[in-house]
Amino acid sequence: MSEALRTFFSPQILGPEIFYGSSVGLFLIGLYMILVKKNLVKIVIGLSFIESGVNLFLISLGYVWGKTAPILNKPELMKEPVKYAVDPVPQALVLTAIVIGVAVTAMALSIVIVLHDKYGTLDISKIKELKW
Amino acid sequence: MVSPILLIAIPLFMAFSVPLWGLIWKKLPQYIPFATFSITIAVLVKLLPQLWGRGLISVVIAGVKPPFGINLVFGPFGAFFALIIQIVALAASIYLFEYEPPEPAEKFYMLFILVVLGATGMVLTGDIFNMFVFLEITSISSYALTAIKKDGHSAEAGFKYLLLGSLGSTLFLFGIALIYGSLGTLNMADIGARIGDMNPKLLAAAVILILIGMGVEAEMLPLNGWVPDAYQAAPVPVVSIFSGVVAKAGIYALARILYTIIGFESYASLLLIFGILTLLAGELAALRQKDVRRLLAYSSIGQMGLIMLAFGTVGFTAAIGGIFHAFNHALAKALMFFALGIMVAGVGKWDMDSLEGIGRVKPYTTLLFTIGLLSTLGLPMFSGFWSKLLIIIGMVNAKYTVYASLALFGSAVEVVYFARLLGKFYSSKISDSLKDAIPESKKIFSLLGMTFIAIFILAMGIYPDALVKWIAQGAYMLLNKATYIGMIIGGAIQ
Amino acid sequence: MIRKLFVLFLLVIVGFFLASVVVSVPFGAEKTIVGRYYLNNTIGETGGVNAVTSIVVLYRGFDTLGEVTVLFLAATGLAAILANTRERRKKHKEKPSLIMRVGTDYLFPAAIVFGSYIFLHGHLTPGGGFPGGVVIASGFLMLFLAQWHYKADELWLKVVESLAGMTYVLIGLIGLWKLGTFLGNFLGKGTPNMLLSAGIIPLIYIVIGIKVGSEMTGLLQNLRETTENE
Repeated sequence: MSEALRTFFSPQILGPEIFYGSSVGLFLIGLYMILVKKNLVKIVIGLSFIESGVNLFLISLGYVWGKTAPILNKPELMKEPVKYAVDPVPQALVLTAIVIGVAVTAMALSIVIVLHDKYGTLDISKIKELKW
Repeated sequence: MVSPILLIAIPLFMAFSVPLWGLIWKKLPQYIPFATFSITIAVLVKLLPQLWGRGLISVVIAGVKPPFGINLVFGPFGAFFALIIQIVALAASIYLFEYEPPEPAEKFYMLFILVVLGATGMVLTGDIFNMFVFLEITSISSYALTAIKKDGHSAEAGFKYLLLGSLGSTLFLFGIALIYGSLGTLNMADIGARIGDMNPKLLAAAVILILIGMGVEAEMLPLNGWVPDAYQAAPVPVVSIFSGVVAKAGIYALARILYTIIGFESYASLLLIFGILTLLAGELAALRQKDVRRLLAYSSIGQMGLIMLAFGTVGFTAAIGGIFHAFNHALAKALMFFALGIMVAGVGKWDMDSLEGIGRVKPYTTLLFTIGLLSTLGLPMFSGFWSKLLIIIGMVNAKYTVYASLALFGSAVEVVYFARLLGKFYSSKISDSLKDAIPESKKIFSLLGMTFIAIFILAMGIYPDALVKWIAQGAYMLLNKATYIGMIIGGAIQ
Repeated sequence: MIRKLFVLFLLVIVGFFLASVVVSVPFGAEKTIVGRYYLNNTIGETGGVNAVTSIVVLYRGFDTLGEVTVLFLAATGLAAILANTRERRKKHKEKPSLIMRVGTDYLFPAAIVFGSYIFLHGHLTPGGGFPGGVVIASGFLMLFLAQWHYKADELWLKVVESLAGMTYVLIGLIGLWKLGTFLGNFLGKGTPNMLLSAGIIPLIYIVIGIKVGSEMTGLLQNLRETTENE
């Protein structure tokens, strides 16, 4: 069962479309939420969607057909790492980008809390300066 | 051993240590920013002479050579922006001595140090992803500092800034991903050497994404909606940091990426068009402002537009003018905002009418404000004159006469609103709201620091050669992509 | 309605732009010079078998220092913005259930141990300081949920956070002093695949783990809606 699932979800079957397609899709969903939604929390969620889209794109750049994670703890991996392991750089970059995304989300939520305290609402159209 | 890395390591260490100083004595954190930036300026002074013979100093981190590890590039161009940033930060930290920060004070000082640290990192790094990290340090601390007053208005301004800023930096990351995806490297010199291999369509997309990302910090036209609100909402020393540090780091990054990485010529017109639009929009919007902070914010946008024009021209004279103007604008705007902060002390209102006649109540502060204003205007004898002149000459030399005349028109508009402002300040009628103004003699330290800036502006106005000689080196390095790449990839490694 | 149509129109344009851009980036192909260098040299140069951690902590360690700073900033900024606004926030209505309270008693120590395990083995297995710190913070989150009188000592959090950050910078400066490069690996490489190997990677990950743990705990505590005097 798990083997079947693995083959189904392996990049060879799904192809680049699923990765690139969903990263663009996530980006668009996020943009839609930012532009249309009135609720501040939903806007923050939209921001996170955009970040996830970009992170997904970045991580899928590192994939190389048929290769495994770049942890060189097996003899054959140690001997010829390039032959068996994918590019580790995007993974390191995404790690950084994710933490930064968390930080931005936390900041955004704290500002939303203050706004809610002051205006008693999360509706962007009722907060005077934020209309655009 | 003095190394450029100390410019980043020391502020970082100090920022982390602020709470511990607070445990020793509650008032001690107030002086930490001053201590930090005194040390960084001392490091800079020690490092700058080393640049003369060598062109640039590249420092590798973790002992791995540039294309594989991260390196810091301490070249004339970056070093000059680092100098601007440290000077403004030091001036602002002197101002902090007599400033009642928003609570919790300790956190305020940490954020204050970190925003400067982020900008310094942006101008020194030689790695594009590292630049993204420092961009985020700068912008996240700016969001927090905008919203720190905790009233409704500053929270709104902070949210607006956060939304635009994080959208921008995400797009910047997207641009980096495109570059990495096609070239497989992140070092700026290495990318610059290989940029010809990149699919032109991808390159164009990456340039657009990076331009949008940096445009938010550099106050570029469609992305600067946050500027007036943030300038209005943030505490005074922070506003001087926004215009003197954050915006300057943004324009540095734009210039560095467009010149060194992309290899500029084909995209020059982009910066020219956005520059002129930013300039005109800023100056024209400033005409209608009543609140002095908003007026200065729009004027700041206008000046950033002028600097963008200078870098868009792609010429030696214009580049010198652009760097020099960045320096002048940073100092003059910081001076104006500090002066404004002292003028408003005890008045609590920031609109022009409430400050009518302030020149008679606080004459010395108003004089300092006027010096900053005249330098921004570009009056002869003030340092702003020379930089504006160089930019205009550079643009005319490059046959961009239309842009040059539009820039002059922008300056003329500037004269109108600044003259109106000065008229109000020196009016013989004294506004009622100035009754309980706190006398300026209560702020000796701030006035001392500001006097120093003012003297500097005047001295540079009379004898600009001292600085321009040095800036010329920076402009030369900026325009010579091949030298930069050669020195990073092929040696000069410390 | 017109606004929505306009937005949809905009989305179509942006989507078309992005899609046409991303499809021209080759997928699944070998292309990177830098990545190959890291894979070939991680064991020889750093002694760490996990190439990603070697990059995160050593080759691109400066990014990670920045990343730690960003998280520190988020914790600081959040505490600054939310300070003194806490009393107006609403209170819990329901008491946490028995299962929650008893379960937490057992899971909290386990979370601390597991988090420490993750950051101690960062150079050997997937994981590292950030996940480890977050797992520790999730232990505290359980405490916040199960016992709403519980409050982590803010002074302690502050001191731990500061000391961990300063230690990180100091480790970098020791590298500068001993090897002449900031964040240089001044400890021995050891035998690959052993716990005590890879030089300063485990050291830095311990610092990061502690720092992230205290920061995320502080962050969660600040976001919590209760007040101390119920």
